[in-house]
Amino acid sequence: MTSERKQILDMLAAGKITADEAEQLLQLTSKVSSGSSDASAPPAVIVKIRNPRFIRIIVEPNSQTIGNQAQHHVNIRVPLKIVRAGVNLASLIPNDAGHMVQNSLLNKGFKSDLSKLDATALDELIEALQELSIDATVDNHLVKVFVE
Amino acid sequence: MIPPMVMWFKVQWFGIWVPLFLLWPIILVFLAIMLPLIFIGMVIAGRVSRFWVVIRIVLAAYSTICAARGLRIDIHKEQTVFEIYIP
Repeated sequence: MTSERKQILDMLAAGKITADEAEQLLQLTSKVSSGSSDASAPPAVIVKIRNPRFIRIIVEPNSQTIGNQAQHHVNIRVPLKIVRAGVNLASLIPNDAGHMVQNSLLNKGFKSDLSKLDATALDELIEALQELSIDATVDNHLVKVFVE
Repeated sequence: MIPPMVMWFKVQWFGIWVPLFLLWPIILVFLAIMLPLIFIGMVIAGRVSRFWVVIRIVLAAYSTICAARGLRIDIHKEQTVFEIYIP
């Protein structure tokens, strides 16, 4: 087993990449090793997976929708940089004000302690988001959430 | 980091490119006037160390504004249209 294949399988075992991504990478490494190009170079697709810039939320009416139901179109693209910057800004909020924000969020049903979200936790969160891909059908609308 | 220079904003039929580049010099002048006053106020109050918190908040707010480049929100619901785009 080559070191590249072992590295890919380790990443799959650690949950850093999905099975589909691992399959793509294995195909790429087999192509590289069978060809005459430099096999030691990492596959370019890793860079593509590792650098998502935006979270996209798309809501479109299902093409199979019949009748005169209301049709919604939503297209939201949020830069991931703004999440990091927002956490940095939120970390400067004084404790008293932070508790007030926390209580307000709890009243709205958002049960999460944002004060525990530091830079390290945020990096882990963003890394986990790299594999985020949600396709759902809600009220005859297709909802897609993914990073790009 | 460069802050966004323009912003597209549309509600219903009314859409406009907001010239944000006109706003930044005004905010810069405002900060140039206010920060020394805040510093003097904190010296008088004996809480100079808190001034650096103010500086950090200003810088964090600036980086958040810069990070907003690329934000896009398009919502079309029946007759309702709402769009924001920061290129």
